[in-house]
Amino acid sequence: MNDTTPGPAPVKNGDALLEVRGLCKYFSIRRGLLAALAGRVKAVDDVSFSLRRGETLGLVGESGCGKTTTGRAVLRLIEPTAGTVRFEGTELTDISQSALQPFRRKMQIIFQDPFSSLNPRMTVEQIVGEGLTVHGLASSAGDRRGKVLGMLDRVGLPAQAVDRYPHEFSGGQRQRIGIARALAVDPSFIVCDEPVSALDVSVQAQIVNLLMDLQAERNLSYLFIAHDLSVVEHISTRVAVMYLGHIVETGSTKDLYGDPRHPYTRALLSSVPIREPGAQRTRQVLPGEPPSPIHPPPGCPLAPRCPIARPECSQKLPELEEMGAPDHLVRCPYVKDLPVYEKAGSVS
Amino acid sequence: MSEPARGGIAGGLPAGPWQMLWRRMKRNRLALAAFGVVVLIAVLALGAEVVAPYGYQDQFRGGEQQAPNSTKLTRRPGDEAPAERYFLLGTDANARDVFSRIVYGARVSLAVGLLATLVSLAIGLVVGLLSGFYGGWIDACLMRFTDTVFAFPSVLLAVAITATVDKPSLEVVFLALGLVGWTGIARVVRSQVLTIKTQDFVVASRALGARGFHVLVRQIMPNCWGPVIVVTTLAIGGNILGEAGLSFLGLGVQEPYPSWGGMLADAQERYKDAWWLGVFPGLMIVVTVLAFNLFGDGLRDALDPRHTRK
Repeated sequence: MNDTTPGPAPVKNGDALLEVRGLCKYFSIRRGLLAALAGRVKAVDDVSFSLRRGETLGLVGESGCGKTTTGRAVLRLIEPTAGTVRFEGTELTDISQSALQPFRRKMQIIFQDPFSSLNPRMTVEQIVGEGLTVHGLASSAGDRRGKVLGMLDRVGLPAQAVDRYPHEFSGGQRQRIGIARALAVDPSFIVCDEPVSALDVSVQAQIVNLLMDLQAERNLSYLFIAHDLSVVEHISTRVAVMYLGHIVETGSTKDLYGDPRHPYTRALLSSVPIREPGAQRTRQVLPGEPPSPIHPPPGCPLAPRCPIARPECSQKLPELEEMGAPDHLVRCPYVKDLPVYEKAGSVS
Repeated sequence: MSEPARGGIAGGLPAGPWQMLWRRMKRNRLALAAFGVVVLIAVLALGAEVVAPYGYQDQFRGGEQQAPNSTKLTRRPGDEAPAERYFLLGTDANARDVFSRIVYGARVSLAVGLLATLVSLAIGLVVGLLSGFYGGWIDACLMRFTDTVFAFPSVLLAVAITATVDKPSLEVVFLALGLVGWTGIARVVRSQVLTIKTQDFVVASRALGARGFHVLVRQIMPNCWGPVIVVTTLAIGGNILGEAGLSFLGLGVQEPYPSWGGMLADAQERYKDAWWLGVFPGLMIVVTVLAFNLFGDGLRDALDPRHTRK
């Protein structure tokens, strides 16, 4: 990708809570004594999406495709290299960290690893109450404790938990503490960075249900980052598929799962196990491994592995184009007239 | 999802970090014995008035250079009549009881060892925290400065510092050693900060709007302690050795107050006819430093889950 002109807006909607345009994050690789620039990793390259209130955007892709970096760059926990992030109409990328402070309350994050995401030396009260203290949301220590207790109750933890340390809890309970921490400052937007992928399947369902209940109750918007496609299908309003720093396909959950267009999306979906004994699925396995983001292939990043690649694919990165349904955007010009994807073995 | 699980992996274990540490320490007999020796020496130092049979500057006329385990009729200044007195580790050329002087000398060694390490810890902590947390040019400058201090021969540097002062004293000695010995601590702290600052709970704190200093002090620092405690314990041994070296060179605590290094220096000229003057203070230095080192090693093993002995 040579230019960073913003791609077409996935949703042309004025009341978007969050509007991300042409977001890029390049990491410089420096080597040697004088730290000469040895290369750049384009972790996130020209990513655009928007999110309305109460909506969930699922962001899927395999490890290292830039999902997490996208989530953190949106919150400016990592400084984006280029692009804009508008939150409630305010441009966040060019203001100072102190001007960002009021927005920290409204934008929160939930992490993947329930172990490294809680400070082992702090009690649950200190962890969940930190945001209240930072933003002056509690009038006294007693008030803070009361609010923390209310929060714990809401996420399904007993009141005795308040004075305990993280190591006394199970993974699922820790994840609830992390959710309580994010929720304590009453945000309107939460980046869920693979919040269930480190948990047991039974616990996953509980946490996903909790997140969906909270969303309905508080009209929250989620950027739900995951690699588990079934979970994303369950929770998302819309889905974006990332490959090597680019969004390759985005659309409503129904369109994307029912009529996937991009070869990468299809391969990804065909890798999901079928919940039906004996059911067979024609798996589309992409040959090879994802290329290194330090030396991405020219043109379309999928070209070396793509079953329908043509010589032109390695010339120029295709733009996102609307296909099939409105707001269903695909970054591949050769899949317009594909036969409808056969969701083999699907029971519904 | 009802009650929070008490304990860790194997049910019933109270898995607090300190209990875990203690449990692992208990298995290491050598480290435990070393810890016992450290406690014993601390008791000697703190209770010197009770433990020592005589004062450190009491001179017993008629009892010059008595061999260990001997009894002699001596007269202390102010005594009305000479009395039979027992000298466990003998007396020195000035007729002072070696055992009593060693007990009082433990005060100097421990005080300097601890205070110098405290000075080192304070400097090392500040340098390491700032360097690791802020990175960039702050890190580059602080670490090059650390390298520079590290490159000096430390005893020589301490000698230079103490020698510039008119009258060497306890304060000068521990400040000198402390100002020289912080580099290792700074490096360990920095490496800890580098590891911890990328952890999710630190990111979470920043996402909540917590700013630099708060994140550093509340989130990062409390999680640095493990390895820092280890290097600090090892540094105490090094500083005791450093103090002994400075005292030996006459740059430490001044006569008549005893220090193990100073006693060794006195023993030098008389080692042929009074071996006990050098052997006992020397043994004390060896035992004390060894105890601190073994205890520090034990702490390191106990804190590092990958490092299992045998």
